Amino acid sequence: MRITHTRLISQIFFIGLFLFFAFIAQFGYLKGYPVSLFLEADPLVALATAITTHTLYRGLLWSLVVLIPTILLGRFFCNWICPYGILHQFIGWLFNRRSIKERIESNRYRTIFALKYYILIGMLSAAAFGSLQVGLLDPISLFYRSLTVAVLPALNMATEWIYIQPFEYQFAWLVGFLLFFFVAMNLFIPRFFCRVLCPLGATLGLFSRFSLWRIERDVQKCDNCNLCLQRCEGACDPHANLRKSECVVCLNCLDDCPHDALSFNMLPPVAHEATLPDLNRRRAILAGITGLLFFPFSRSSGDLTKNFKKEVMRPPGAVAEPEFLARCTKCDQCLRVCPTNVLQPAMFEAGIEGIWTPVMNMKMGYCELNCTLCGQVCPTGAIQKISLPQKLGMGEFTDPGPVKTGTAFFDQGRCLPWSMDIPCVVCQEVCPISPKAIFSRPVEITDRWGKTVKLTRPYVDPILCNGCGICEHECPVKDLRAIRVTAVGETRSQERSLLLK
Amino acid sequence: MERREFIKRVGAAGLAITSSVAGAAWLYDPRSGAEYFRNRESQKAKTLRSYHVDRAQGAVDMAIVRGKDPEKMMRTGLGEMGGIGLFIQKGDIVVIKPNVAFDRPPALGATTNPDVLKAVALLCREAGARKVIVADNPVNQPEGCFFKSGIQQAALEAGAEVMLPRESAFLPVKIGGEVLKTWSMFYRPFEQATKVIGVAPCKDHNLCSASMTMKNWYGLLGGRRNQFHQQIHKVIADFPHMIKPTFVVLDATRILMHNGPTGGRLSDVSEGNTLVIGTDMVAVDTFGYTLLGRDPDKLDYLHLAETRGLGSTKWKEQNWREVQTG
Amino acid sequence: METVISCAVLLLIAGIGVAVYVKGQIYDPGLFRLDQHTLGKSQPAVKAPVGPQEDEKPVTSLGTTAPAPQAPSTAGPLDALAPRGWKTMGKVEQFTADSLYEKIDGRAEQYLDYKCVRLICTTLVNEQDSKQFIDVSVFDMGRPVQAFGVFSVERTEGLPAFALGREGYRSEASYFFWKGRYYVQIIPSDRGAVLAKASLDVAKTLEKRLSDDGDPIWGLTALPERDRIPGTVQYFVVDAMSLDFMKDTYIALYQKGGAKVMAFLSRKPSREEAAKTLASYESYLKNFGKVLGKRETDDYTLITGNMGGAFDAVFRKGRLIGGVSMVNDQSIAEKAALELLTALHGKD
Repeated sequence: MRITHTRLISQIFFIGLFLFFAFIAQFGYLKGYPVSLFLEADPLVALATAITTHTLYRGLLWSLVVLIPTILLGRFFCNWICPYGILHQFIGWLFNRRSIKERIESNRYRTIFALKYYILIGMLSAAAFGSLQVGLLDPISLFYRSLTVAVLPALNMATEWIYIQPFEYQFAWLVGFLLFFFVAMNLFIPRFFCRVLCPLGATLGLFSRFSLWRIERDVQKCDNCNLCLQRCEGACDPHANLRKSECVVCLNCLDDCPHDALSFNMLPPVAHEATLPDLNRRRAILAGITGLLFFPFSRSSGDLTKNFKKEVMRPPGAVAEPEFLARCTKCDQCLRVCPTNVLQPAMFEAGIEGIWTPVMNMKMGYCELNCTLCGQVCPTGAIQKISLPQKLGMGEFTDPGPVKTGTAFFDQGRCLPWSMDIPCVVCQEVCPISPKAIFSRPVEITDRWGKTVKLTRPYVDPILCNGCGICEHECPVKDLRAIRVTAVGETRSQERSLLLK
Repeated sequence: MERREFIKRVGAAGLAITSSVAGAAWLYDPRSGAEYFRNRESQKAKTLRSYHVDRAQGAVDMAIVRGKDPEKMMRTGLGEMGGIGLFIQKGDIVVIKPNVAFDRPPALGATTNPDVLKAVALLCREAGARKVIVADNPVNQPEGCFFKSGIQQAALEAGAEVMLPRESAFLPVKIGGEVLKTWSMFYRPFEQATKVIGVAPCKDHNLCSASMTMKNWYGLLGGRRNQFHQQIHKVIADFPHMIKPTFVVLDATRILMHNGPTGGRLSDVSEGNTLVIGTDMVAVDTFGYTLLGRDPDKLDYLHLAETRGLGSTKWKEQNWREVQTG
Repeated sequence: METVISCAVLLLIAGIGVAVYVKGQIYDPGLFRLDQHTLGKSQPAVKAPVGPQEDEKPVTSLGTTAPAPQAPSTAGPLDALAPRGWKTMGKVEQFTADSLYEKIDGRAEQYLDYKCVRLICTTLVNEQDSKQFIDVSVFDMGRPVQAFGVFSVERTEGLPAFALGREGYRSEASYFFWKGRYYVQIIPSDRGAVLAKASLDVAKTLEKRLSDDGDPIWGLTALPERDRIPGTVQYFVVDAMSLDFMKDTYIALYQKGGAKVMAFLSRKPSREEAAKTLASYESYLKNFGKVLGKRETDDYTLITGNMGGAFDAVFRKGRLIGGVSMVNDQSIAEKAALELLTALHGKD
């Protein structure tokens, strides 16, 4: 059994596992499956959140299981485990109709491959100040997000396999397009994303400098035919001095060398390898400065403080906004697992730092009262794991009270009983809290035709309202609801509270 | 390859692994949501020490001074109480908290009379205070308020320094009240303070009826203090929990009789020509309320504070004096 | 070799697959539904409304309807204090300074001397045996120094200290302590294990509910700690050592060699007041005993006197008055007074 066959089995297994997790992350199927495993094992997420929050959150400890073998063996993760990398490799293999000569040329090292290191430096530099942006290009987060926001809803349109009622996500076209674009680029540069953009690859590439095993070329046997480059996934120059930071241990070159000159050995001489990635110091510094300036410039835009948008309601259990932006990797697992489609990927509502972070949109759904699934799957603690009693303020949590994500306000000019002499109060009916957070007062009016109409006019009780939004969701005035929930009265932030406790 | 090379490279890998594991172990945070949110509530809040000064039993606790010259009135009033030396000693760092909440000229009676502030600051300096700090967290823009109210100039002339409420000067402080437990406060002036004096104008207030020496401390708080109006009387009665000043001065040289707390017309203001100096804020405010022509029995926050043991509305039964100056 | 590694990797992958499946079956059903258990424990799902309500009964966060308020309508520390198996007999009572004598008769005078603001008290009775009850009294003394004062003068020497509040002690099954501005007495009807345990429960619960500003007591830090016998510091508002001119004075017992020495210390509002007190002390020594000597330096004035076999040494330093009283040996008295003087350097 050749090792490359084992590698293939591993690739099939891991992408299958990843897709399995993406499929079953849904109420009814979720059970106890560790759906966040790939994100938790992602060393870039662990490293970046350790920098932003000075802690390693719970499950992120799994990242050591990937990091330690990387330190010993090199970037095997990129080829054997990473589902996004496997996808690129598969698409590349599927559509590649190049001749051998063309393939060899396409797998040569290019200086543009240094870009991913600059991207990593910029992102970690921003992270040092508390702004987590690695999620924009981290492959696991990106792939999961693309599945959740674009692929699964599209699949469901054709098959109805995924949801009961179709789920929709705003700007899905953009996320879908980006997925398609990165994957399509494989036709120009094989593994374009992995080689040029991937910050996780860059992180593992940096750790590979310590690796004790690598591909070794026996110069006696080698006749410089360059055939080892035919299917080289990392474009790491196995025909010359191996670039350790680029080699993804695909081991294809072992099979392709007609002279059996390549092997995977422990501690071959340093002289015949390029241990560190080829970086231009000035560009690296420029990348660092970009990340450094990103933080003050984006925070000065005021989106977190006085000018915070009323639409930015975060899931229950979310931490206060500055820390939220330091923890959220934009993986959108919470969007996937949310049963009502209320969570949407933000565009600029939460500022430029908040792109693709979860915000609630009550026209799409509402926050189910007896549900805390989002917090259970969040790998970084941007949404904390709270129990149902804590969310509802019951039992031992009676004193701090329930978690509130916002407060509802009536737009009386649009409300049927308030301004149109038509009875309604669906909002009060569906309010799940007891005693209800919407109460009403009966009134008798004479309508325009002289008839007496009995109406009940609803009011919000801000002390009891927890901002779940089912009232807004069920309001019959569908275009612009007559009762709308906004981000004031949140318990996660003293700044955005409404009432003096 | 050589032994040394081997050891170096294996060692480097080993070190990388060990540091990663050690780093992970050190930073590991297994808290669940229940613990995360619970910890957040118990922040390290500062506590203000008591600035109260013990004096002999039988000392005068409240002096009502009638007159037109604020400096003379302050001297006379404090003289009745035993002299400034009983309160301020050499080397003290004194914080004076006036009301500089609005950017109004002094004649409109919405802010502390700058002449009164100047007198208090001068007296502190005479008593040997090493530093006098004038601080407040206004409602309108700070620079405008300090300038237009004349307080900035008064402080300058008296040799006191004005401390403006910058963002970094605020810290969570333990209030210890019944509604307010901990709140963001303009703490920097108090970092080194040894004595604190409140100098408040006597004003009508649209919500709580009167703003006097107890309400004056509202001006030190930050954050979402615009929520206090939801339980204003209980919150005002919380302030004497938060701060125990050395003494307070009720500046009734001008009294804002209507349209308070901002006022806006000269006809809202009457010539009060009175200063009340005292060590018990509740007592001072009880008397002060009568200067507005109202019945102290009806002012809720006075009674709330009295029930909590923070002062007494029965100032007539205590040691007080009333004097006339020129 | 490749085969070996391949097999190992495949085994690992199989292992991961099995582990994932097994983990999938282990989960907390409470994540997916609200179980009965939690529902049963809750009262209204949210904290009691603070603003004006409609026709709902006011509910406290403890799930019981609020008792009809007597004086202030805020929840007090004695509400729902009874441990399991006990209940509050009647209501929680409150008395102000004016009405204090209605509850405790002549004892009120002492508490009023220490400026007691109010008394909150209740009685807890054992549901199993109504002859067993515990009287709980919380005196709000206005300021910590007053609470400490009344605590210290009620304490009898020799009772074992108990860690409650800032200082406490136990006498049989009774607990006494002070914390912040409160002085607490927990006195059961009798001795015995059941009462002792219940009293302790009550003491601990109550202690947690009382707040403490942390205001320090001047005398406790000014009086030197070396050789001080623990639990003997007392604070007198008036009549310290039964002398009518000794007001606002701290007393403590020190072990100096084989002898017990009573030391006292008071900080007057001004040097003039201190001088007056010293003069009164001197007259007292002259009238009831003999003045042995008077030493005056720039820093202090020290007067020694013989009160019929027991010796007093009193000094004035700045605005501090201090010294020792009723010491059997003159040299010990003088030495102790000087030690006290030195220890007070910089504290006036």
